[in-house]
Amino acid sequence: MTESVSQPPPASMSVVPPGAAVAPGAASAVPVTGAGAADVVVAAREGPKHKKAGREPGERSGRRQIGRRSWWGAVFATPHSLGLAIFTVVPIVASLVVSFMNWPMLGEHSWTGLDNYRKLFSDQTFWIVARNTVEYVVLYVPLNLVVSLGLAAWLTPRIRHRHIFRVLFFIPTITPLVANVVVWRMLYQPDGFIDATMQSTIGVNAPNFLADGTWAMFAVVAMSVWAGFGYNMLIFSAALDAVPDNQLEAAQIDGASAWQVFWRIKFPAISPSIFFATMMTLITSFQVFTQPFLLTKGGPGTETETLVQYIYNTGFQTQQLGLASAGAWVLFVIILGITAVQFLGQKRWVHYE
Amino acid sequence: MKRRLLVSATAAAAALGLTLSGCSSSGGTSGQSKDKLTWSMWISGSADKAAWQKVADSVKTAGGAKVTIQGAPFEDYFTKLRTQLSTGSAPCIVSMQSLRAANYTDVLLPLDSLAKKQGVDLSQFDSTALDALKVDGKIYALPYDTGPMLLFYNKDLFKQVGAKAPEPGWTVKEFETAAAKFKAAGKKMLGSAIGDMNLESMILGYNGGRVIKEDGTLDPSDPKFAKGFDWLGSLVKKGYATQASSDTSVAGNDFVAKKVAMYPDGPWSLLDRKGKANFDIGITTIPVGTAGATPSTYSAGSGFGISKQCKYPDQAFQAVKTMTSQKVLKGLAEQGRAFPGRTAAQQPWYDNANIAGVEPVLKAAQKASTPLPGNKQSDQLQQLFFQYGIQAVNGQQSGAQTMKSIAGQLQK
Repeated sequence: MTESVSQPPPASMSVVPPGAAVAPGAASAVPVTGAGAADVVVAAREGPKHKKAGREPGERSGRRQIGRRSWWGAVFATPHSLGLAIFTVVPIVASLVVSFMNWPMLGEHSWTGLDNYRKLFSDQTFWIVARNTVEYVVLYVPLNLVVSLGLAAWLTPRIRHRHIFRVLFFIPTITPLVANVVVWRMLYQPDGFIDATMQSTIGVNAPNFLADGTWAMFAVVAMSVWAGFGYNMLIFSAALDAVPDNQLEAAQIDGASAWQVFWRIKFPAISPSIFFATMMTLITSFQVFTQPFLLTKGGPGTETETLVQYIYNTGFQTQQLGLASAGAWVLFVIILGITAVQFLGQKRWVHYE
Repeated sequence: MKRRLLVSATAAAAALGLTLSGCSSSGGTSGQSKDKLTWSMWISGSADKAAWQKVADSVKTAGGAKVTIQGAPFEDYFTKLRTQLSTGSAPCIVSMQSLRAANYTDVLLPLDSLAKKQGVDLSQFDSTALDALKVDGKIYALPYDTGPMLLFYNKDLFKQVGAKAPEPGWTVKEFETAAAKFKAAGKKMLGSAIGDMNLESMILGYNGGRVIKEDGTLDPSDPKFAKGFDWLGSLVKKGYATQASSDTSVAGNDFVAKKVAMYPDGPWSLLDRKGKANFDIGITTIPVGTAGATPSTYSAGSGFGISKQCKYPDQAFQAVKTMTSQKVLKGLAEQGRAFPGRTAAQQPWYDNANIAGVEPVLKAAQKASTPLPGNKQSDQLQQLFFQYGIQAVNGQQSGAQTMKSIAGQLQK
């Protein structure tokens, strides 16, 4: 693991300028966000190649070569394209179609046009869960970034046994969420670790975190940050290692403080990684499901019910697959919109060399 | 810029793909044949799996098909089953719980004519168990277990705090008197549980309030049921009961860990609890608000049915017949897996339970029980209890408000 970490950050791969080299192993260094990250990398790789092929000089022999080359290209791309088609494109298109239909899990399907969307937007619960999801994102994303960036900044090569710390911090990310939830339940529940500690030290009962409306969302966010910061920390840590020493030395010779070195040199240098991490964290946090579903089942009331759980409940409990698909598309548009805004806004603060 | 937008679109599209494909169920069952059948069953652990594997093997031993178990935890079982049945990968043999049978009549085969054809004497089954698995007079599954909701209690803790051991038929007043003794000793008597059976049985015993009417229709507006919620909330407030959790296993675990002295559960888990607890375990009936009021608890049972999609109903029924035979149910009873759905197999269960007074209590509870009727929205109601019921029991909302919220969600 440490070897791939010391590579240039995979983060920058996704946003490298056209023509820049893509380090091998970039895709394998982003295991957690799976398909999402991998596709970013692939798109970045494939883009410039096509352009380059198009600009090839139009010699006669060259043209045949291009034909043959692109044929081989297609062959090599087939495994991934097939996977993309079967597991991503087909379900997406199918869900779009289903979202315009009344599609109970068993029984007759029929076209309903925009009815599902109308139903969705007039459902009070939908707006509540949308607000909950935004609440979660607003709490979770900054916390995750601050914690992971802070720890990455602390884990400089000067720290002894930094590899051990890295592994320790990464463990929550690779342990199954279900197992994490079981442990966190024991911390949160009445007479659990937190409650028992508070009783024995200050003699006050802790709130019933998971069953109390004012605390439940915070409890879910805290658990999620603990379980999720390791991945971003690794990206930041690798990016920080790649900041050229001569720049840091130059800054030190000029008399820059550690604070200035971090904000004026390191931060701009790793801004592509931060941008990548922010984007991926935002996408996954809009899709949050496991933590609240397992910790609170969306309760108390609807306090921690998120958009994806709403989609799940609509699909698998009330068994209205059309309505559930419409919900999934609304979530998709939200994520697409926010991601687009981020890409537009990156000019202001992301520096590519 | 354009390319970056493309990248972002791809990323978001992939992300959506994850959302949509993340929940797909795995494991098709198209590989079934006359002598190879699949059976979907709820499985809660390796010991459980071993016991059910024996049941599956018994079919082959009796000259029937080879039965392969497809297991899922009970909490996910019905979600998964629905999905399977809708995609055409249905298992032939389907385990069914009585209160959910009504929800599955469109996908299950009525078994009456098959039973006649293959000569099954239905009168040998416990009539409550069999009736619970009938919808509109037709049998949809042969029962393997049955039982009324009870209260399990810790005899040692009752002695320790000086509370009178609960007699079957005890009243809410006696229940609260005992709880007060526990409170005086700095302990909580009852472990609150908000699973549908537990919750609805406690309220039925308290004041007869019910959210599912006898004919199986939902009635979330029943004011008595809301009052029952308030009563459960008052128990928490007075320090008689623990706060409720959306995790169904908490009450049972607290009981085994001696954190509470009592919690509602059914005979199907009695011997499992007895094996785990290092104290003297007892059972009693759900307390009644007015002495002698019946019904004061719900009963439920489970059985094995056959999916409509199954191409080999005769072979499947033969398997079900073996799996609910006297021999197999006796075997399950001896292992303490299930309180048998056949009357003649119940004695071995009592003998094996080896708990003083278990037989009269169970018989009294059965007499005082009524099957919990099923409804198409039972699963959703259960989920809503987890989300909203917790607020009523923990005293954050009145029972009436809670039932209003639940009613609002159910009407969708």
